Amino acid sequence: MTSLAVSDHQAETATPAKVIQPVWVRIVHWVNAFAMILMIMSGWQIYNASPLFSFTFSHSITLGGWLGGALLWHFAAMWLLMVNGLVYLALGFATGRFRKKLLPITPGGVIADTKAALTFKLSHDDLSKYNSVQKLLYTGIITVGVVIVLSGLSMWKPVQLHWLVSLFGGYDIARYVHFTCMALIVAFLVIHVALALLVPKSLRAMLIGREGGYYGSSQKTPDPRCRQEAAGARCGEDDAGADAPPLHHGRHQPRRADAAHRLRRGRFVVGGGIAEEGLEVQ
Amino acid sequence: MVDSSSAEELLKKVSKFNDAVQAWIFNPDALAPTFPESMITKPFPFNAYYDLDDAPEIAGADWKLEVRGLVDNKKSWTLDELYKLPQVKQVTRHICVEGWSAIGSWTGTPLRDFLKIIGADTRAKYVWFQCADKDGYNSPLDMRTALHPQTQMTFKFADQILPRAYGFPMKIRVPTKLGFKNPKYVLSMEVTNDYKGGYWEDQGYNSFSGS
Repeated sequence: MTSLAVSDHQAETATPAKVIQPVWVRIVHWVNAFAMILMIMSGWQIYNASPLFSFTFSHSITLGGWLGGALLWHFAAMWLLMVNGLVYLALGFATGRFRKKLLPITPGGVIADTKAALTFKLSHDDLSKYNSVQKLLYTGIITVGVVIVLSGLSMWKPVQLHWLVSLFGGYDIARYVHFTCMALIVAFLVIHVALALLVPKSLRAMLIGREGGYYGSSQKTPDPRCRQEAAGARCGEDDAGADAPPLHHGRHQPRRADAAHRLRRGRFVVGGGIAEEGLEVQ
Repeated sequence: MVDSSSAEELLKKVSKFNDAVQAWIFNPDALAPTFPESMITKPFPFNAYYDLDDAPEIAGADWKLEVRGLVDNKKSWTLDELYKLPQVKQVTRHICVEGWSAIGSWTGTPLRDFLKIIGADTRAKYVWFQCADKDGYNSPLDMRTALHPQTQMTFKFADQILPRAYGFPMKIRVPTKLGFKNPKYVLSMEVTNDYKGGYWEDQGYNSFSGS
């Protein structure tokens, strides 16, 4: 029924561990976080030079000191953001990560998982699988990321990219689009960081790739059922809610995820996911 | 907030890199979008690092445009002589480095026609403008932008002789550059291979600052 394909990486490693966030995801995630914060803080300073609304951003949270300095930061960090973003999109498509982790998104799934999340019944057992709310938010924020770059480019090069400016409905509207995307990203950031702190093992996964910081021979081996999506089986039951790696692996009861057992710590991570688990179920 | 000198040096280097990238992607045939006159912004904003009261007041009859550098004919030009050159009108968007923009109507002689008349060496890197603004305003314009068909020696705004606020007697209208690279109250132009800096450029604005 299921067959395992072990990757090179897994074959070489004597004690394979379940990698929830592959190393490339972790690198682009943190580079993006750094670049994005530079872009946002310098962007606020630039905004202050000619505010769109009746407020400005406090000098204490802006970057650059004045318009000229902020522009230098903005147009330096943009390279980091863009190159890193392109690497992320290219690898996301090439590895199939986007398809595997972000699709499908169904309205029913989103509604059910939103309800579960709001009643603290959302499962975080398997950090390698995103719930529907995560899928929606991550897909949404990736789209916002693309739009903020495109609106930014159209403001930077409104002559060379006049078709892009037209697409946004004009230079002035592109400014509002750019600002709105920033606001959405900041809102996402607040929720994202809050949830990552509520489910600390998701933060650990984005830092070290795994849920816990264990590298020894007692490391748990991958559970074939992790990818067995149709059966509704859950993996990682053994260590769910606990940081210690299980010493007796393979005792999983393939039980259905029932609401009472689903309140676990784990999994609210930006752009996160598996992909290079080294384990494929076909 | 962050202003350690090493960070500043790095940012300057990236800005120079950005100059090169922007020059590389600049297509001199790409025209700035033009607009119907009905879309002209009224009133068109006055913007400078000084108040309107401090804007230069130049007597047109005494004014002469000085021409220097790598040109065959270095004679100065009176306003009457310049007015006789063929003029074209453009309705384009002026975009300020601060982010706001406004659509205006400017009429004058394409700079590339004038450079031809004075026998400028168009292989030179820059046309450097010096202006009458207080504290001395100057700005370098890269040659490819100087030769852009819409780069204009402007004598009229909204079909009227350029008012004091907008740069009488002459401004350089460059619709492919941010506003601070559209010099007003021009006194002289110099065709040169040397990067001579500029009022805002020296303070940190990206020197290319073009679209």
